[in-house]
Amino acid sequence: MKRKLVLALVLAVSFMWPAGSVNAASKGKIVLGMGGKLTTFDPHRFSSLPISMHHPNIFDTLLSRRPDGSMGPHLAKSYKMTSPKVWEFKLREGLKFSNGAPINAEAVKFSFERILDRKLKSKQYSYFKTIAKIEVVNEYTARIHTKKPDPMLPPTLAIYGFIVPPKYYKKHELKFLARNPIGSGPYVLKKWRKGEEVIYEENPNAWNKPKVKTAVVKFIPESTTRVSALISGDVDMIDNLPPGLRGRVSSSGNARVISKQSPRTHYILMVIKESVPWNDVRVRLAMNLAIDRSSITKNIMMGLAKPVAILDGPVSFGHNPALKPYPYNPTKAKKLLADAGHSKGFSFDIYIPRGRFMMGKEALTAIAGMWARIGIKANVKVMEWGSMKKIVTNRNKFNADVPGFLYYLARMNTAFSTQHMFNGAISSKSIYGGFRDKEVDDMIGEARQTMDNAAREKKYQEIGRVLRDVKVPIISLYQEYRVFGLSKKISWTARADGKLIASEVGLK
Amino acid sequence: MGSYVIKRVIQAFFLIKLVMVIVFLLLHMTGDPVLIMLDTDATSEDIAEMRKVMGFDQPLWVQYIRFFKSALKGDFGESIEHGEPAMALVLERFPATLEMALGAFMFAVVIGIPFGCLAAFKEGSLYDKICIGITVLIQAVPDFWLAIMSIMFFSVFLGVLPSFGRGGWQHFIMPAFAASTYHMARLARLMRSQMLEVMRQDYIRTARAKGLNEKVILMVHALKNSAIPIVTVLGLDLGILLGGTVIIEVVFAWPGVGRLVIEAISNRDFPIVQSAVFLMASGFVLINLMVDLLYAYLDPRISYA
Repeated sequence: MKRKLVLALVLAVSFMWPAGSVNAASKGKIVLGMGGKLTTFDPHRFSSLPISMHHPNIFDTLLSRRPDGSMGPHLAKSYKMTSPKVWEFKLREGLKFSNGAPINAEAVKFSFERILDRKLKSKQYSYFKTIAKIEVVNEYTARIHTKKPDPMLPPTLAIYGFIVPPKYYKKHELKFLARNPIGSGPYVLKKWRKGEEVIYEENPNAWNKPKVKTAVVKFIPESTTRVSALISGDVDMIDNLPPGLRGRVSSSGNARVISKQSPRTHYILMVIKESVPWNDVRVRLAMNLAIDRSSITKNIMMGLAKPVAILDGPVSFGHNPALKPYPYNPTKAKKLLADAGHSKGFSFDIYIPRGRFMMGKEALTAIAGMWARIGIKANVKVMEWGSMKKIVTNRNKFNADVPGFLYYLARMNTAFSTQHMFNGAISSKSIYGGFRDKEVDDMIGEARQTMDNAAREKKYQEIGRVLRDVKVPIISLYQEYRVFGLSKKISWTARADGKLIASEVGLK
Repeated sequence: MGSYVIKRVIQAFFLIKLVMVIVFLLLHMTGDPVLIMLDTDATSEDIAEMRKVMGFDQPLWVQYIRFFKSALKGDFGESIEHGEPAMALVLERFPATLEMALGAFMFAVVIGIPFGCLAAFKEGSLYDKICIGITVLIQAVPDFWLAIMSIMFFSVFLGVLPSFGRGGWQHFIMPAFAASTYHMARLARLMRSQMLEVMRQDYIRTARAKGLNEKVILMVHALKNSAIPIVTVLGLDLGILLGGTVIIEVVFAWPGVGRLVIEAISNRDFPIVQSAVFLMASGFVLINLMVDLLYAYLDPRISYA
């Protein structure tokens, strides 16, 4: 009877305990082979896709993205907008950093103030420059005051703004902090040999336990070597599997391939000025209609890309599902060119960076071939990325008689933010975009200030419609898939944002 | 001899200084690190602000003087994308590069020179023909292809060697061998032709006439006299290998200086490139100096007056 009572008590207590705390210690070890390089473990100084994949293993953000792309609380147990310029975050209580320091509102305040301190020269500064101050309401409540209403703050807080222990980060110098991180994430950093490997070990204080006790990440820049390492069993999982090597992995018998549409959109921008033929919207539309996107995604991207109507995919906030990608209609394209007075066609240079975008050069060569069928001659110029950026950002300094040009870009939008894509490619303020339209600028600016989510979403959808059907500011293309190779012992759900986060990878 | 060495060291200093000026100017001409650092949705104000924070808004000569003053004190600046002292990052990778360079160098010497000698010794034989054929083939095969094929054969098919990374001797064999092949084949061919030339000299005929053993003739008389051009090439080869075998480092995920520099160039991480170039240029100049000094030992007719 006594034993039954004890058992009943144990069971009752185990059901009452919050889910995050009862996670038993993790077991096992995995080895991942990743292509991207990791430059630092200082969570506030830099930003890059590899950084945003590694840092969540060690640190926590206030909010986070789930694998399906939806956003929710993370280190904060809840959050709300208390006024248009104030966001309030209630933290999970009683949690500790891996060094035993308490996680509280002071840590939140310190972490954001560290990013905003210009002495740190943080690359994340531009993401958080709308913050006016951070207010500590009580031990577990912090308020972020913004200079003006900022609905874009929450999606950014799901990527950056990692919370760190103030005392530790005040005490040590930057050089030390770059290699000795302390956070509250699932793992602690056990060993890091730059350019070689990172070894993560379960954080004993973690509230969000990793799937396995030890995760080793090997840095393997060359894709054929990554594939060989997977097939030979040297690693258990790889990222950035090139489409052409999928067959080798699937036919090996000991590994499989997982691919998922990512928020990385490929598109072509143009320098639009009076002297160029594509200053006429009919020409821009013709250039869009002349591209057989389905053929490119099927034959060149090997099924690993999906055409988009403008710049965003289905998971993005503000995506307009009613808008379809431009159809392939060369006849109409030819007619539009003739109507615009360019029946004999024209020629121009189009730039693309070398080896940066998945199958980019091959796809662009095919696009140039499709344009040639309607009389447009595009000279594809493959360039080194830094040199191309220099040409593109200086494009408005060239004289009017210098011919306009086009350029192929792709952007990973892990914030699933249509606003970011518009800022980068459409807005007049964009340092890369070649389109200038006050009406569109006003629409984007208005949406940016709209705090009601439903109303803002509608505004983005309307901007999308205007861009696709009326203004045609760019050549829209497709979103690529992220492709991963996994040994058969690995259990993992691909994320909508295309990231591979070691703490989410488990063993079967 | 002493004054010669001093003269060469002074020359080396100015040579390295010139290299640094050229590298500084070229790097700043090719692009702006701030553009690479910031996302595509950054505004022109963001860029201007970051440029100011990083000090890139100042005139080039001001930036150069600042760089040169710090470099004289051994401070090559902080890496733009690592946020750590650039020279320390380069030096951290240097042991891996040295390990691979010396390994590849050893393979090239230990295999290339005996093969060349034997081919010369057996001139016109089947062995000689096979040797020439193999060296031509090896020189023609790109090292990255050889590297990928060796991974597929030894790691995937046989499963006897690890496919990538740095660790024990097993990790070292494939990359060092792949990095050595071109140098090995070149050495073998050069050794063969040098030996053949020497073997036709009068003093070799005299040695044979004296009734000396062929092996003694080869090892004592011919080898040393063929060594001068070989030593020159060896010096250059070691310099090239120390400069980083970038492709091999990338294919085998070898954490050497070459890989770090390639990444730094594409991200316009000037301090890392400048640190690495300084280190490599100094190494190259030093090796050449040593090669020049070695000439005197090999050929006493060479003087440094």
